[in-house]
Amino acid sequence: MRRSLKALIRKTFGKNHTMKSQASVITFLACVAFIFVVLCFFFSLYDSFYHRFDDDMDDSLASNIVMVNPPDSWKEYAESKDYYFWLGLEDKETDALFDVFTFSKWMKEYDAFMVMVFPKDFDEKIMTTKVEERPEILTFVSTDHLEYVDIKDSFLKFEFENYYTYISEKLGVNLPDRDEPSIYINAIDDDEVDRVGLIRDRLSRMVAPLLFFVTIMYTCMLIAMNAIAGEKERGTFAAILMTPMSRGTIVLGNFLGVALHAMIPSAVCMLVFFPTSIGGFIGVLMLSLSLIALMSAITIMISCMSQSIVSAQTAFLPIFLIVLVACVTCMQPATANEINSFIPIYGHFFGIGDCLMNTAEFLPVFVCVMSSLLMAAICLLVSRKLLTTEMFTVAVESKSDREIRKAMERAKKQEKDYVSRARANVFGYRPMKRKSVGSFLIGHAFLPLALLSLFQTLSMIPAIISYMKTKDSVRFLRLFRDLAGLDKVKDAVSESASLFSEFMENRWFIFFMGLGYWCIIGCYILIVKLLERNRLSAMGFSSRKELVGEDERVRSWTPVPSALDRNYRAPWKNYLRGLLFGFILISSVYVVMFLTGQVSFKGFALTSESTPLFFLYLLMWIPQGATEEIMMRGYMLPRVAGRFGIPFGIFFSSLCFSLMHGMNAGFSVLACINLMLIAALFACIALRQGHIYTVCAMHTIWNFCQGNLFGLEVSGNPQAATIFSSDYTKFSKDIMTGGKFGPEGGLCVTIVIAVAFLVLFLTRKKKSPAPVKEENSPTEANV
Amino acid sequence: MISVNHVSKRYNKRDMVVNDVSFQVEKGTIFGLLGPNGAGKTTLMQMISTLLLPTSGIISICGLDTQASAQEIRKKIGFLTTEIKLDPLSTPNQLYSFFSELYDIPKEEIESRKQASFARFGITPFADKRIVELSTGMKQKISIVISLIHNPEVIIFDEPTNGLDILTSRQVMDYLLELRQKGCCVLLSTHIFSVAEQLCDEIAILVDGRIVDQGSASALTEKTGSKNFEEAFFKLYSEYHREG
Repeated sequence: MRRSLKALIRKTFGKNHTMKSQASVITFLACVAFIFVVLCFFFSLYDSFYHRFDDDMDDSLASNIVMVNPPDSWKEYAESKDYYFWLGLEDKETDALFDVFTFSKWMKEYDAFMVMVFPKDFDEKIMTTKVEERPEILTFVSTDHLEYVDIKDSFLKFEFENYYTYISEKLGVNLPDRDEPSIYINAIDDDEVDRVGLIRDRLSRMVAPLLFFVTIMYTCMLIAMNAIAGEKERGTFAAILMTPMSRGTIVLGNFLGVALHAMIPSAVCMLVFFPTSIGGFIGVLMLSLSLIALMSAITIMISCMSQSIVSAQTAFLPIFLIVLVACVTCMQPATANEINSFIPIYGHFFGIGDCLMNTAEFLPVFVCVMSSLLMAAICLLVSRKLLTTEMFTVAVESKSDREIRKAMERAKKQEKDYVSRARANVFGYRPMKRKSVGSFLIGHAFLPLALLSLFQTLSMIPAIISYMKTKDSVRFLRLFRDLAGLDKVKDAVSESASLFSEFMENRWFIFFMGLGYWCIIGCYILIVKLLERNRLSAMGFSSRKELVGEDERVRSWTPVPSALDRNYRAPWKNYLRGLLFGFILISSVYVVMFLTGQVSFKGFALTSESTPLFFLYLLMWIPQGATEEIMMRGYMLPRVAGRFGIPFGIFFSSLCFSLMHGMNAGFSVLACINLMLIAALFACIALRQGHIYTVCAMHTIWNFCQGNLFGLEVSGNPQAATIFSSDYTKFSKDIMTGGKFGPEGGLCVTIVIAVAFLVLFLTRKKKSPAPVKEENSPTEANV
Repeated sequence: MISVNHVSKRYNKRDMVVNDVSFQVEKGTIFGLLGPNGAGKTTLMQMISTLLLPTSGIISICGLDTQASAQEIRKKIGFLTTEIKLDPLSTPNQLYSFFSELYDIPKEEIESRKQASFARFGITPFADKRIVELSTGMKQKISIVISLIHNPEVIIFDEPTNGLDILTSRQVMDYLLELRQKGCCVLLSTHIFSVAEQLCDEIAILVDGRIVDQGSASALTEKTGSKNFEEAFFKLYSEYHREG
């Protein structure tokens, strides 16, 4: 064991692959040079800064304060306190507030280190209760000696605090509470400041511990990541695993190697900041050794967990940064409390500083050392355990083998998943693994319902919130509170319905509804792309290549109707055509209703108030139409048709479409049939074209024209912003107009749709000369 | 010497990489595992050489269980695989002394043993060059020397002639025959028919983690009624796939 340990330790001192890169050598050398230069400057500059006026100035510090326009209250206070160090200069103009040169002159003249300028009417102004009108006192401190800042601070913190209490008691004004001064250095009387000691203190408590931390962590990272993770990456680790060494020996050998490496920079640090006492020396030694142990163990553990140097270093980086941040917080005086010095890392930082300054206590250092050694031991045990698990030792399979195996599995799964013969092939959708009939149909029926209700509820939230702020909401909620008996329930339902129509005029509701529709489209794309791993053409968004049958991958299993080869149009052209078709369709409905005397045209109705709402509607109908088409025609139709054939596919998707509107006001049997007919018409158009761009546009323009152009109701939903306004005449019959539900509930639509079907049927032969292919051509089969 | 009893290995819940494999390898014989890529040869050999633990089944070498006394077994086996590489910045000399220390070979023996085995494979002229500067064949020869540094009784070689030219692979094959003469037990995996046919006393054909058939090359050829061993392999392979 001892021989193998030695061999492992020696190995860490061998060629280091990460250090081999020139970049790391250059950055490392640059860092060392930088630190050296900074240290040199720190020593020389700090010292000379402190003593720069030594030659031509009195060594003693100035202790007076010049007060410009001192208020009477201060004079009284100073008299009562028997202060002698201040010097009042009366009646100075306020425009001299920032006259630095004059201040410097005064300071020299009166041997003062600070000038305080009071506003002239300080005593009167201090009475005001408004904080922002409180008088401000300007202070100006000499920069001749650094200590002046400290003296000023302590003066303001202590003397001025008392003065404030004094005036607040005297004048009966409540001045804002001030914290008790935490440190009071009576520097005013203290002429002797140990400047060298001050440098040493700053260096030992801030710079030295930081250097210890940075160098130790960096060295540990460099060596440990190269040791185990690096060997794994290079593939040499398995050879070591195959030797009859125990895993513990491997961990221990590498740990010792890393620790020995880390001792080199910390020894250099020790030499630079040499402790002045034996106790301090032992303290720094113990602290740095325990820090080395902890860091080496952590890096070794991470190295055991990783398969490559980069992943190991990436994993260690957050720890590195956190420790550095901890070090920086340790430099703040606020962090230095008794409890923190017992916690490892914090304790190490304070401990090293204290030991260098000989102010360390035994207990915190001891606790810190022991607890970090314990943590190191735990890390090493974990590492040993890690090396006994397969995941972290050998690269379990060779890459090529794994790929081959995965490919074979994929092939098997595909064979299982795809039904080789589908009943119908719509939009090139290839059916997936079969589910039971019940769950298949219910799933398809509920998916759109679930998505719609989810996103519509979400989009209603802002509107509900704004409603809750109004007084009406109280009345509305009371309605529900007093629910008792059938009448009240009826009231509540009708009230809710009217509330919904109110919402239709809420801009936020319309905006969020549009957004919600986009989200639903996104959901469907995700379903098709991620769950089914299909192309977007499988939900009706076919690309050019797919439509003209140029795409080899699709052609292999998609029978493309040859008619499409000739009639290909870009998606946007199809969309425009859809807008046109839809407009013709809904206009004919309106014309029929108008001619039969069901509606009367009332004129232009768009007001400047409703214009923004109108445009919001315009934007909302685009995703709305697309969403319903994707749900019913794009997604549901190919899937249901693939399993049960095209006729059932059309029937089922139309039924779902129709029932989806069943919750809307004024729903009737005729409305249901009409909606099914419309859905079937759209389905046939989509099937003939092989995509859903056109029907998306038709749906959008239908709803838009109905609601926002002619001012009719859209499937039971009244419209708020419309260009024209129409009204049912007194001769109108609900059976023709659909009453509350809108034209879709009436016979007029039935007539128009029937005509549309007829047109579709007549144009069939001209447009698609029955392509001869086995079991294909949805267009031929249905239209 | 090697006995594998109903050993299976799966990496996660679904894929079975090695599926209920059993065979014995006697002292002084060469046993070959023949199969296509991804058949589970490497995994099986890693299990036998204690790097992996079998999901089920027992492997014992020289009567020792691989799970219970892995460390003992590692003293007795020499394992070579394409997955195990040599440190590219070290020299053969450095590697030899490093591994002989890890294997705890007596100090006085190291030098003489090194000279002998380096001379045997013609490594001596390259002994002070870095691995990265050497050819594939030389690297493979050094790997063989390193893996046999402790004179193991059981030798497990995963595709030892992979990527070698005819001359070098001849050298390796001769060495393996020599080891058999010495009474070592050699387990060999390969997908090269000639190697399997010439070297192995017994061959197991491994497809999709299962042993399809087992026997000497001539016996397998005869059994399937083929002209040569290569044809026999294809017959067995396609037969398995027709059934599967």
